[in-house]
Amino acid sequence: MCAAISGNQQAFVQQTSNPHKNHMNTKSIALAAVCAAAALASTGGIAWAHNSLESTKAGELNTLVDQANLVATGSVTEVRYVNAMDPETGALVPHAFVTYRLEKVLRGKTASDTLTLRFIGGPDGQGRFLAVNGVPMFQEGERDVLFVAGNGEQGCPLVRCGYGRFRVLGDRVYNTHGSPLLAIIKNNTVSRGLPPLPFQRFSFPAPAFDNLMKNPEARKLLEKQGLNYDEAKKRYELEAPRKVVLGDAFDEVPAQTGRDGGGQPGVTLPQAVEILRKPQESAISLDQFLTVVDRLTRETRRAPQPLLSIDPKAPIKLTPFRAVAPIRPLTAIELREPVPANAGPEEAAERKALTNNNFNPVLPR
Amino acid sequence: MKRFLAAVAALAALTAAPAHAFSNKFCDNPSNKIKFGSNAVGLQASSVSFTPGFWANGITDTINRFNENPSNFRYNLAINNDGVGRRNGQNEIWFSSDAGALQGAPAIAYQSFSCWWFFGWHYSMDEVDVLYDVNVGYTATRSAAALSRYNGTGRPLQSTGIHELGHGGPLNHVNNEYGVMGTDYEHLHANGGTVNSYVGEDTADGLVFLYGKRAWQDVAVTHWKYSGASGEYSDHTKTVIRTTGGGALPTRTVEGETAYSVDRGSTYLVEFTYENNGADFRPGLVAGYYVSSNNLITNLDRRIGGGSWNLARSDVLTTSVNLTIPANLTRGRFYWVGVILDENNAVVEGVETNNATYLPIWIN
Repeated sequence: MCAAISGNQQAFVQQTSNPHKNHMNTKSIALAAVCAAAALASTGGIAWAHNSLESTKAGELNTLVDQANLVATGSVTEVRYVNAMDPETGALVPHAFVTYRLEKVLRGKTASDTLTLRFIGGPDGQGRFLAVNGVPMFQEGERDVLFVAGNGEQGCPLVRCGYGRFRVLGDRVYNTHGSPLLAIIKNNTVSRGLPPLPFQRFSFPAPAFDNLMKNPEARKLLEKQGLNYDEAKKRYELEAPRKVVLGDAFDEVPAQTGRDGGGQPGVTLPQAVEILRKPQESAISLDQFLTVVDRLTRETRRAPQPLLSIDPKAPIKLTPFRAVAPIRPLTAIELREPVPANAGPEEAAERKALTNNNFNPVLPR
Repeated sequence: MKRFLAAVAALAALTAAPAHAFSNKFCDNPSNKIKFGSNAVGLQASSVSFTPGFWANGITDTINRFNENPSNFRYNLAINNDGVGRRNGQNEIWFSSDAGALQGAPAIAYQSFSCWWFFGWHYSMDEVDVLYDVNVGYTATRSAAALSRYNGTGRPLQSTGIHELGHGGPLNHVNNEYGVMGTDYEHLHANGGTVNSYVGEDTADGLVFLYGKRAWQDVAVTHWKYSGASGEYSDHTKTVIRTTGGGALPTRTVEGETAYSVDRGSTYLVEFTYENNGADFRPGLVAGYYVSSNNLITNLDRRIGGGSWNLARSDVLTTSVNLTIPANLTRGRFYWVGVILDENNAVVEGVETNNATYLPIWIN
């Protein structure tokens, strides 16, 4: 049972300012279908999160469309961070209320041309940040194609969470992580390559001084530096950056640098599947993407359910974390050593020697 | 309606452009690397989830495997019943049935970190909590017969745990190189029916970047390789055997794995992935190639070739060698072509179990 915690909900709200203007470069459309047959086979195996044990795959646009109650393009007009409080630990649990101005609705309906979605994660206003893997972050001014399943029931309202968001930059489409969307093959998206720089950085409002001083580490610094509270506040408000920037750094290494190599009498083939890095121009256009999505929305049979905007003032229900025990019975295979039942005496001796040799396969002769 | 996008025929292989490997987080500028303030951090595994025996052994194995890396960073595991909680100042790991907490993922990491300015930037990794979905078929066994990418259906607890704990680094997902921060349950080492999870070269490189390195060496060879990007995750597939012209071979299945149909006396290109998971560049690594009557590769098997490799830390090498199948093998049965890296035991390694692996063949 969820605990209603409106009485404890911290009313810290910050609103982004100075819209992050995406750099719009109009590029001529150069459609390049770039995938190898082998790559197609691998993209057919695109898995959502880590779960390749399911038969449905994140890259399948038809699945995204079918499970969405709303498919739309829109621009972020406001990101508002609100802290909930864990009912057991009392810890602040930030959430982001992301308001979109919808541009085009391809599936479902909304009450107006704005929609506010709620995501778990973000800054807590005291200098700390909660990131939940797979839950995307948003900035004012960003433009997206959204596949929205629900709103407010869980920490991420998108179909398969991050996979239900495609980002638009300069009329080109990128996946939720910022990799250029290069092709759509049999309704599977193929995204490869480094994100463009705007997608490698994420900024949010710097904490107000009074809120920062609720952070014990910041308070300690104030006392350590012997600063008067009011004076420090005045200086902070003059000197502190207005925004905090978080970023992702990528270690760029050549695929085959020559640092690795063989002095051996073999023939070295290039890698069977490419490691692809394409410039932004190769990302497909929004029009192209929406054409495919539009077709799929007309083909899908499930009727979308109504979707409501969420009120940032509404209580955020959090359930405490609870550990559970695995319940399935263990199988005989799991409980025995990985030695084949039909291992003959030679193999048994080899295995014993390996065990005695600390599993080093170079056995004493 | 015109189809804007269509598949085309096979593309040539690599571009010359570099691929990115590990990815980390920073605060304000790349030199402010977000990381734990200490090289050794505590990790509490819930004894409710990791009950004594199978599961406790599994999570212990997970942490031990994670700590087999050349960085100074490690997790110190304690299994206890202190409870779990959001942002409670403790790194925790447990099984969960809370769909809201799991966000639909089979495993998920909650990362808390600091990034704030107070007359200078202050930044740190503060906490990581890892949740496994109890409804996913995780297993802690290392038997290939029970694992989904071999002959079973289970998902390795250890590889997923290493991946999620990599987010504690904190490291991000990788989709451009073979690595455990990609599709973790296809980042494995196998020999003789035993499958081990491991940190691997790329994630080790990321941890060294954040925490510095120690004098710890390890070289390894696996039959997995990078095969493309699956969203933000690298996708992996098994290495292959081809004709010397690069052509595909007919295949069969043995014990859940692909076996390549070959002719006695013929030469083929046999592919493996070689990794330097340790601290230092290793030149002149001796490799021996073998054929075995089973999937356990040791130097007691029949040697059919050899060579040497130079392996730098930080770059996975997938490549092929020419090997001739002995002319006097028995037709109509399976064998296993194997490789042993560091065949002369020249490297004093932290891990020796990952120096040999195999690919199955069927003799026509």
